[in-house]
Amino acid sequence: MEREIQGITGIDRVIHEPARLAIIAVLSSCESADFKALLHLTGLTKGNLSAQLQKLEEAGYVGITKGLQGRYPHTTCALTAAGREAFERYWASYKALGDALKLPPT
Amino acid sequence: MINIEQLQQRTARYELADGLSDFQTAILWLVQGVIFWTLVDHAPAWRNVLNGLRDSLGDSTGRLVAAVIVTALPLLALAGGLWAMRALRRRWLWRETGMVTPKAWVVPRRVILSGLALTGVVVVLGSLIAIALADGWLMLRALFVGMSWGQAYTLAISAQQLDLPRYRWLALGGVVVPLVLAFVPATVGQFGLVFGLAWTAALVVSGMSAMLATAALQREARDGA
Repeated sequence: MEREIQGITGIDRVIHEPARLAIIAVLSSCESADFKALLHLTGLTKGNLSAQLQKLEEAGYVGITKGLQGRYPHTTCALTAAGREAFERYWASYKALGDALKLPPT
Repeated sequence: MINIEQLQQRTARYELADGLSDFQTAILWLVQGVIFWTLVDHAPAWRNVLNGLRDSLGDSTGRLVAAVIVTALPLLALAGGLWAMRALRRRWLWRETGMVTPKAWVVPRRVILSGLALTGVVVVLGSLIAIALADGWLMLRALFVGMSWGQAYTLAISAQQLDLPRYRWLALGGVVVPLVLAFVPATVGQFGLVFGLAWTAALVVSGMSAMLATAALQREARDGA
């Protein structure tokens, strides 16, 4: 069923989930953002953000770099080239679908 | 339902929302105004500096060092500003809300190029009028009016695309104030200095208001954590 929906609309189900979509939308507008900034901008909880980032990393859409800032751990996230392409495709499909159904753009 | 475009706009705005880039631009206008003023109105002093350099370093090396000083000052101001911005953000302004590395062009390249084109058009028009009126200084005045309008254009588009109301006011001032200043009786050097100071003052006020708002946001985030 999921594949059929994807076939009809071309919507990428990895990106379409709201929390992941929020993360990708943020990362598409910058070079990179750290974990704190993603928390602040998306409004997700720490646990949810971690889980969704892991799924996006597994899909190859987000690159995660872990390091230290002073004495504290610091996590930086950035869209990969595949992630950027996938989001562009998703956004184009979503807009096309919205136009076809005459939905107000989100 | 999440609003994707609003989220993207908020992220893109992050770089400009704390006002530090306003301070950076203010420093550039100040340095530029002061250099222009001293070069034009205090040419003998510069000649003395140049002569001193030529005497001690030789003709070509002296000229080269003088040129490097004039071009290096704005570049040093820019590099120092960037370093200070990163340090301030890490330690204070973005401490609670996190670091975002912006795209290479926060304002789209075509907007900046259009702003530069507008500057060019004003300078060419000013030059034509200057030739017609046989007033050489008018050309230099047109340069500053053109630069201001180019900057105002960039700010107006940024204000619209990123929803930054303070840039709307700056853009409005950047169009109107040069028109008034263009008719102020002053030497060309003073004219350049006044432009530099006017932009510096406006950008410092704008940057300060944004910085205070960001500091309040950090306090809220810290208290809420």
